[in-house]
Amino acid sequence: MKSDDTSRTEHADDVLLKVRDLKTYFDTDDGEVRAVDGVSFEIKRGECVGVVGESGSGKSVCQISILGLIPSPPGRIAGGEVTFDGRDLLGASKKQLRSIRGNEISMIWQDPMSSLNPFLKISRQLIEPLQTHQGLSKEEAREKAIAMLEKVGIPGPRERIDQYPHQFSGGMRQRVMIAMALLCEPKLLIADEPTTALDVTIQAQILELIKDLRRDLGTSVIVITHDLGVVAGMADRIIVMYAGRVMEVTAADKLFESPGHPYTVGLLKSVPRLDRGHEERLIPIEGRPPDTSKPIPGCPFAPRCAWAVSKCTRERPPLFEVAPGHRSACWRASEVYQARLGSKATTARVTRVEELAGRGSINESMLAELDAEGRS
Amino acid sequence: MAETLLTIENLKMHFPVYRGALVRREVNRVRAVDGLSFDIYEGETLGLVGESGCGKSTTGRSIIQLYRPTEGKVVFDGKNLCDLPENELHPLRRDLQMIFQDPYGSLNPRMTVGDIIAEPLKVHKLASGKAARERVQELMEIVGLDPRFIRRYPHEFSGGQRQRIGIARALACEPRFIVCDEPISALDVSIQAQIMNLMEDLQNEFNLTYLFIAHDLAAVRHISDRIAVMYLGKMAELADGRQIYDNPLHPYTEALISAVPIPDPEVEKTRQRIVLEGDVPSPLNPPSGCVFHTRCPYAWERCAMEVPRFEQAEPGHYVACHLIDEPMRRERVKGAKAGATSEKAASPATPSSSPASPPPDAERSEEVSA
Ligand SMILES: Nc1ncnc2c1ncn2[C@@H]1O[C@H](COP(=O)(O)OP(=O)(O)OP(=O)(O)O)[C@@H](O)[C@H]1O
Ligand SMILES: Nc1ncnc2c1ncn2[C@@H]1O[C@H](COP(=O)(O)OP(=O)(O)OP(=O)(O)O)[C@@H](O)[C@H]1O
Ligand code: SF4
Ligand code: SF4
Ligand SMILES: [Mg+2]
Ligand SMILES: [Mg+2]
Repeated sequence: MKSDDTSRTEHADDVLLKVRDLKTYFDTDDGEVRAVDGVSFEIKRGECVGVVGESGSGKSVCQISILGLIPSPPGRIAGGEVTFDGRDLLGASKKQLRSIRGNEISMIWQDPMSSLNPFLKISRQLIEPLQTHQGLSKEEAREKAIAMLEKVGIPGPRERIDQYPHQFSGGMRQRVMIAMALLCEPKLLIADEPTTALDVTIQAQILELIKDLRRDLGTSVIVITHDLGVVAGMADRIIVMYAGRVMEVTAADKLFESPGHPYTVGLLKSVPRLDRGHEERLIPIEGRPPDTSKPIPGCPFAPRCAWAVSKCTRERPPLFEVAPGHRSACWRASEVYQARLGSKATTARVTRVEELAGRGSINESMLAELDAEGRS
Repeated sequence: MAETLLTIENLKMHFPVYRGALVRREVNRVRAVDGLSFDIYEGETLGLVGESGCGKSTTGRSIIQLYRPTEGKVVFDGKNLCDLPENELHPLRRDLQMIFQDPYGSLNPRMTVGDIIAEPLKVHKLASGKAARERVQELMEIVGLDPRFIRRYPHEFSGGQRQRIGIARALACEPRFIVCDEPISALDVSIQAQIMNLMEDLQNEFNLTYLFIAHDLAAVRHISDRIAVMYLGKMAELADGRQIYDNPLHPYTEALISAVPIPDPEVEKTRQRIVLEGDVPSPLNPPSGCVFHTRCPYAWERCAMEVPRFEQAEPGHYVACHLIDEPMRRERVKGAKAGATSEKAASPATPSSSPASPPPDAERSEEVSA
């Protein structure tokens, strides 16, 4: 299944969404929060991109900015460009944006009730947009809605379409919302933590559903999550965010094989894996994420980074290309990348490399020595 | 073999459901915990997993008598806690503590950190005045909080720090057993490892026994020696962490394990995912026979009629499933499924409704109260 996903991205090399140096700031009592602080990325047609990062890293604000839904005030787009299917979104009128949102870009939120009106039968909520946006007759729209409910796995859709949202369980509501999001056959589906509120067996159902629909309809998908496991199973590429910035972006396999950013290494080593027992101790990322209401002149990860050098707190690292299509915003990106600190690296090895990195730069021969040591 | 610290026998906790505005009458009962039997060994971490609402918190609370169970026994130090009146229970409560999921809600916002941590010392008359303050400072040091913050209020701390306050409070009177109810669920991913490592260190240092409740199976596997899997108020399976992962015997455990995503695309590519159909039924009217039969891929007639007993299938490996008597059924169904997968991959997957999926939640609108 995965293999045909990859081949699809290889063929579809044209870009659907392009974001350049996006900046979204909020005015708060504590000062100006730089929620998104110069983010750039691209989404290709048919591609699934995962956005990971911890709470407050700007994942949602970034996507909401693209959709033109930032509440203003307190928010404002302080700079950047967003191009969707050849059109400029930041300069688009409210009317144009509304039509794009209902038609070409759909969203699924963590909380389905935020998109469903509790007082309306789901039939009305599904059918009306079809009538207005696609000009279908009421009967046609109803049939189409029933077919979509069936497709997302709602049993007895013909009867259940006339029920109210509260008559559905959490997992079912999420399915209804997905059906709603897909009815207009969008070019891009943005799923913001689509399964965080669900139990793991229901999460598996929903993720399989999104994967299947993506394969059938060829929709591009952005999945926002804090769970690396979720994106490991479905994303072609992954964007790692921290403090409103992109830390690393690369193909999913590469990210887990040899990450190019110390923060990504930290995430991989601090998350327990079901397939490993408790023989390995976790390496926590010490400290906590920075306050984005204060200006951060250098690298936002510096206070927690084992690799930090004096330059890191002064100068902001740009995105360096460590391998084709693999970029990392770190002054020591190529050293980190070379060290191969991905999922296969043991806790002991990562700890040793980080110790060495704290003392000075790391080269191939040091790594070779370390691995020889480890084997003996 | 480690000593048994707690023996739980046929533990039940039912919450009555009332209806009627004028004449309130009990119309039903939520069988939140419905007949659990297991031991907890001294010094171990027993992980408890299961889906939302399956009764994990209720189990933890019933064991340490925050709820007085409807039925059953909890034997600790040779005494059945369920039989003891509150005055006899009080001195034992020292030994049985709890850490809560919500580091925000579980700390009184109007008390200083010092007072919060000292509270159990006062309740159990273990220390007061200067001695209490010194003990609090020592505890703060132990859990990695700066003792100079003793006069601060909970809102001045981050989520991870608040969880440390909760841990310090639980440690204050040197307990032997701590129920950790989702202690990391509300924390950022990068902070979860800090707290898990702290809990492991404290366990080694003070020979603590944990009941570690979480819905995150990977975290539970990481921290636990043994793992108990619950479904709808019942124990489905209990075994060593490795046995649970390598050789799950209960179909629900098998599905649960296959559903947990693993942060490694290479592993994910080759994994077989068992996608369960349907939703978790309501504990207000649990299915007959085996409570899992409405979603179980292996269920047959017997499953709807007869409740499976929770029995030892292999040394130290307990399970409640009729397949133990007829293991061939599992292989047959698996063989049939394997044949069908190629077909399924070709057509868009349309999860069908399970025949016994619950009716559209008539019971959801009922009033539930304790
Ligand atoms: N309306 C708002 N007013 C002020 N600050 C805001 C507002 N919305 C978001 N922020 C701030 O922007 C930052 C990024 O928030 P965002 O919601 O994008 O994070 P996230 O990565 O989606 O986190 P989570 O995983 O918790 O959803 C945070 O610091 C948040 O406090
Ligand atoms: N005090 C109470 N009164 C009535 N019903 C209750 C009470 N506490 C729990 N329940 C019900 O008992 C069942 C089990 O609840 P419990 O909180 O133990 O589940 P849980 O496994 O801890 O779930 P979660 O993962 O969501 O925390 C649920 O159906 C719940 O609604
Ligand atoms: S730029 Fe410096 S501080 Fe930032 S991640 Fe790289 S080494 Fe660490
Ligand atoms: S007893 Fe039957 S329904 Fe229950 S888990 Fe075993 S096979 Fe499935
Ligand atoms: Mg968000
Ligand atoms: Mg609970």
